[in-house]
Amino acid sequence: MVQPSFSHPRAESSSSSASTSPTAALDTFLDNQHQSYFEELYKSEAVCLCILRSLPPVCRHIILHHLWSHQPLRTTEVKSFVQMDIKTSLEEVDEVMKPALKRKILHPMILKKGKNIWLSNDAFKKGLRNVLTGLGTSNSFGVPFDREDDMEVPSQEELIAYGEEAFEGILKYMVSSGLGIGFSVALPQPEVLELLHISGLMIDPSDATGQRPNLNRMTITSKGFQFLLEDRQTQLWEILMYYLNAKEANSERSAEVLSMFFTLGCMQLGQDYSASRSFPHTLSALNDLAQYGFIYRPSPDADQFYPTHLATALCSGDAATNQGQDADEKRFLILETNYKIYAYTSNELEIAILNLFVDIRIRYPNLVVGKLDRKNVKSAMEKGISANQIIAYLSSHAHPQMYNSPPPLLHPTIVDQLHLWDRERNRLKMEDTVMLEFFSKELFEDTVNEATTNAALQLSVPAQKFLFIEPQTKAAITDFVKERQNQLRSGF
Amino acid sequence: MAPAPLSTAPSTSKSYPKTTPPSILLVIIDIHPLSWSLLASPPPLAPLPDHPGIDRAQASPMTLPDFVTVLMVFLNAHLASRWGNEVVVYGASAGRAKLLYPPPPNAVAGPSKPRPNSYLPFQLLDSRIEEGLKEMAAEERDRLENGDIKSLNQPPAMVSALTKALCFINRIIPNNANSAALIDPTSNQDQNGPSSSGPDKPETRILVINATPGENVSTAQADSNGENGNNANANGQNNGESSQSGKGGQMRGGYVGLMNCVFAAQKAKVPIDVLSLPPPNIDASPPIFLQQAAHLTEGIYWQWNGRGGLLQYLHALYLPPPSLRHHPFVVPPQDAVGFRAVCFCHHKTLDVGFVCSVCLSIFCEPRPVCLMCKTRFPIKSIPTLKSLATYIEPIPIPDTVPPLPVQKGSWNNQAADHKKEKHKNATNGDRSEPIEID
Amino acid sequence: MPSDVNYAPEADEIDDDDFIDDDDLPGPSSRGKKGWAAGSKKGGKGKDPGRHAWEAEYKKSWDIVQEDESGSLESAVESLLARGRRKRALMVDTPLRRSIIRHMFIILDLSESMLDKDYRPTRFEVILGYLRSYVVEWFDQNPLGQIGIIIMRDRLSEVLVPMGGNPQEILSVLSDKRRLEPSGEPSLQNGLVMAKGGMSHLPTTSSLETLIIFSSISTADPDGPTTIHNVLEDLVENKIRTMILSLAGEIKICRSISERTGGKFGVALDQDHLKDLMWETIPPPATTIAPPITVGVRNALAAAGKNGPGGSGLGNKAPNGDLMVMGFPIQLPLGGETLCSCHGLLKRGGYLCPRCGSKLCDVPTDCEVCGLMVVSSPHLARSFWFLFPVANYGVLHIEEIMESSKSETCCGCDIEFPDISTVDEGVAQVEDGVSPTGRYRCAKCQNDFCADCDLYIHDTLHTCPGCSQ
Repeated sequence: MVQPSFSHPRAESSSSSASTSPTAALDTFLDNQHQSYFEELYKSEAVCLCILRSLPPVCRHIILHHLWSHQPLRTTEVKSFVQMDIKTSLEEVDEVMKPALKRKILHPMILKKGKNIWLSNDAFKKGLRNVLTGLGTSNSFGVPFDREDDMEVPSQEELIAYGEEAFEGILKYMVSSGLGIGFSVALPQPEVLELLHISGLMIDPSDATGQRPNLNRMTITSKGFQFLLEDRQTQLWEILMYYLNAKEANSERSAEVLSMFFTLGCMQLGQDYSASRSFPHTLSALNDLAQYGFIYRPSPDADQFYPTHLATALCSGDAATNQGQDADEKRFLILETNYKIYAYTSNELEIAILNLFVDIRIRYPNLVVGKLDRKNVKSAMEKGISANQIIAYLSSHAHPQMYNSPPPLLHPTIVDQLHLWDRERNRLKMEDTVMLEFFSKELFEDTVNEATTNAALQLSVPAQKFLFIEPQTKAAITDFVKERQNQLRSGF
Repeated sequence: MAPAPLSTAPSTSKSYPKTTPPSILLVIIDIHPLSWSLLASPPPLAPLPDHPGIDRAQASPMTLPDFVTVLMVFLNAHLASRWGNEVVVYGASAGRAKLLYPPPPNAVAGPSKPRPNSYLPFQLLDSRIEEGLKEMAAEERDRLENGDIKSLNQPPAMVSALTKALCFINRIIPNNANSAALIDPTSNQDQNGPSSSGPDKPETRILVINATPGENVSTAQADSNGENGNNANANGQNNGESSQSGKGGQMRGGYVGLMNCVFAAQKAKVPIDVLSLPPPNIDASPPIFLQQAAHLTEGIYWQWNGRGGLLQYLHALYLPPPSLRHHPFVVPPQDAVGFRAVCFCHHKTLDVGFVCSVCLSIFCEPRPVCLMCKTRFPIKSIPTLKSLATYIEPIPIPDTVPPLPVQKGSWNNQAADHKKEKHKNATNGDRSEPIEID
Repeated sequence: MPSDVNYAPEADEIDDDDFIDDDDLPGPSSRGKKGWAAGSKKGGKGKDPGRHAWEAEYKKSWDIVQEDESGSLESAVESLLARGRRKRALMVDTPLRRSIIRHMFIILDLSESMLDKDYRPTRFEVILGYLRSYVVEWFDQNPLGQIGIIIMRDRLSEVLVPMGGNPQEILSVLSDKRRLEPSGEPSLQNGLVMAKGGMSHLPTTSSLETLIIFSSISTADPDGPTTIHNVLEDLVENKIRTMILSLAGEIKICRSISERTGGKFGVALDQDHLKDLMWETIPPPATTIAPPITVGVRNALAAAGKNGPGGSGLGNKAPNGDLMVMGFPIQLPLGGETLCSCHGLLKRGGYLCPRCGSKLCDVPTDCEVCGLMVVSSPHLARSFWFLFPVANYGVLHIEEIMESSKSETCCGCDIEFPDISTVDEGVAQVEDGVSPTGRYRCAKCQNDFCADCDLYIHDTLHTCPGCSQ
């Protein structure tokens, strides 16, 4: 029996949850961009603000510390800020400021005498200063719409409800396609379906090539299931990045669209803005976003639009402070050590997602009681959901009450068991192979030796004289066998 | 948030926090008109031949509008540095303190129209602070026009503002220890335990921006011990060189009140940062009680040198939240702290005092009966104490310590009861009426 | 307050009540003077002499709280709060006697016997709970005092908290139960030696005390030339007052240690008695309440014994007291190292005597050079709230608000008050000092406060935001 190797399941899970920050998709996208792309982005003050906030705290405060200085930032200065020894290697200091370097906020430069300095990106510095002083000129926080006083204004609740309905509609559509349980789900817009297809969240099983899918008959993929388990902000950013990538694939400039996302993220819920004046160059992208519920337009072709909470919460760093989705509303799960789950929710979507890996026993109007059991968890895993994702989902939806017990939020028993179930699935490993059957013992042994030296051996069964080798070495081994056979024969 | 460079990071940077809790900054700004008039036209700076770099920087007068602009940028930077950060601003003027931001819930919303080039929360904050300051200024003007000139001589109500700030903190982060203690004596163990209100408990800090020169916290306690017949009045005063420039050097509310605030802040683990604006050319002595407050609550105390650069100083010293201050950042080296106290009888700042052994009240002169607890002290000891008192000399001060205000002359309007008792350790200036013994 | 009732086993409501009482009431406990050394023989003189602690039924804490008709706990919580308010109203305003400088080591037995369940839930839990409130209370009454904590387990002793004057630090250590897991046997000798070592740097003339909370019935001391009797001689020589509180029974060596060193020995009969015994050690021992002229701690203490105790309590007669000359030092920043005058060692930081300017390592102490008593003024200030209590806030009725509503927000936290119109006039009867309108008014400054601020201001802050304007 192989000993399970996750001796520190907690450390493992915590590191995995740390690496999946809500903006992970955005980060990977930005990491692959060039200097010029950032130069264009930093023209917008909203981008500067959001990028600043996305930096890790230490790096962020060094940038702010340095913001009003005229000198370039010296590495020795950074060392003294963070109490590093003056002789610390450059790499370690680099590590502290790496996020800023990656975002091209600082440019490394080496002066004579081995002095290292970091020059600030002028565009970023200027942008950030303008954010703080309010002296920018790029209209990057959105131009309010001049509405007449008697116009009807939707309340914040209405906007939240609208956004929620639109986005959950898409999610529900995805779930229902996979589970076959029917809510009456309206088919999303064709553009949305197309994006779902391009992103690989859904496929048409009858369409083998993936070239001409029937958009109305798609089912969810394992990637799609994983997507469902993410928290809301991660989902939003993933969708936006798929959208952005699709734009790039059509060789359109995406920087302006991206900066529009950030602008939307800095807007105020309940305020109306003028589309044509806020985003003169990206009106079509704005229209596309309307289909996902990011913005609400009173009438389809009006210039006036309201960002919904989906948009305004885009940049709020952690999920807990999401303005739209009430934090308490999202934390509804109580998980007991006996694997019982109590979910205080009446949200159909959440219940459907729970249903993916929980055996739901009881449903009350505001409470669902179920049990994590092997059968359901494994069936979820067969759909491509990993143990870590389930754990992350459970902990991000944990009821405030769960924080009152001592630190590990989810009991180690349960975390371990989920990992064990995950392992179970991987007990059999499939590999392609070529089987050779021998009749001569000598020939068999020689071939085994030859295969071992060439690292082609997968398994040998001396009793039956079976040999299993790597498929790609088949030609070489058969050649060897033939040659050896001839030798042996001629030898006699 | 943080793009996590996990696997590649060397071990040192792993120890840096990935996230910080949201941070609430409570700013108390001293807007006493007299203090600001002093700051707006400061006397020339003494040259610093030893530090040519610093010496080159010109003395810069600082007016309230200028400073508020700088402060707004700083507050915006605080809001900008993390989602979920919040700002609360109190204004402390002569004898009164008021919440400036956030606006009271029933107040009419300010400019509803967002500007296309400023982040709306920043815009709301800035406009509301401006409005609030104007309101307070208007109230001051009204008071003046109503002939209430005396009120202008009252020191800024720092203590009142501090108590308000602490009440505010108590409301948003209730200290559940109290209520738990009410119910079961053995169950209140988890004060620091995980039983916080949720996963992300905000951290709070108070920033006091002091504009009033002098050793200012030394005035009358808002005395409530009525049955002792104490009618301490609020005109106690004690300041250094600035006494001629209109009693600028006072702070209303008193030493005891300030100390109570400090202990409450200690309990709630709230650092009190202090930025003292009056540069050395206006104010030779630091506001020692605010300095004590910063020291005791592990806050940062810093005195402006009068040569500009406030924006940078604010960002560099006061922006990092408490969770980052000691690791990985460092707190700037703090000056020596004078643990001087204020006597209960004349509200003088003391280096050496007489303490009642029963109730620990502090007095500046030997007296036969304790004012607070009515303990009678042995008569025969008084001459000895008096002789002891006369030996009290100010100590020579080492370089690291800012010099004391010049102490000269003896006090003049001594109260009737204690006319005969004269001491060498007198401070200058007019004094309050001593507490009367019944 | 009837002293006897308090350790009767079925003093059900009262024990809860008393706890609040002791938290709020700064004065030395007025009860149970009989406990110490009265010893074990007179047990069970409560109302029901036939029942012993172990026969009593376990009082469930949830029984104390009663639900109201609608099943809500709100009224129960409110009445608990109201009780706190009432206590405060009863609080006497007379200033209380405070002592000067005390140093105390609390030696805590953490042997396996601490896990005994004769106190509920265990001795360990009960002692920890009491210690936490004890420390707070102790520092309130002895603002210049210092406490250290030593634990004895596995025949070893360990300094859990070194001598210091910060209650928060001690509390945070005491709340970490995992560090305090009881195990093994205690060694009284090791504990005492460690306490003596920890106090060796203090002048023998200041008040040195140890409080031993002993739960075991035996001590496992090291084999060697020194025995516990030698240690006892040392203690006597060094004038370390040792008070021993046994949870189990009377032990000869404990009794003789405490008697020889001038301390007290007590056996706790039950939980409430235990608390009484502990609380009795909070007021300073009579000898430290020093009579005449005090140039410094030493003279005061040297003169002490002669004049006898200054009346250990709260009689209407004003207690004997004296004026002391105290200096308030300057704390140096942690710059370079300089020589200190007390040990002659190079050290960073330190304090400057305000009279002679010599550097001292720590305060409170006497200046080595000029003999001035040097204390840190914040330590003194910690007790000032006793002297200037905040006046109680009055309950506001609806009519009063109608007449004179000055402000719609709380003067403390600036929260908006609940709308008056929503308050049902029928329910507006004032029960136990809880305001029906959620407003409380300061009689002095006429400002209104919310219930949260009322509690906070009176329990923690001790300064009225309105009055300090």
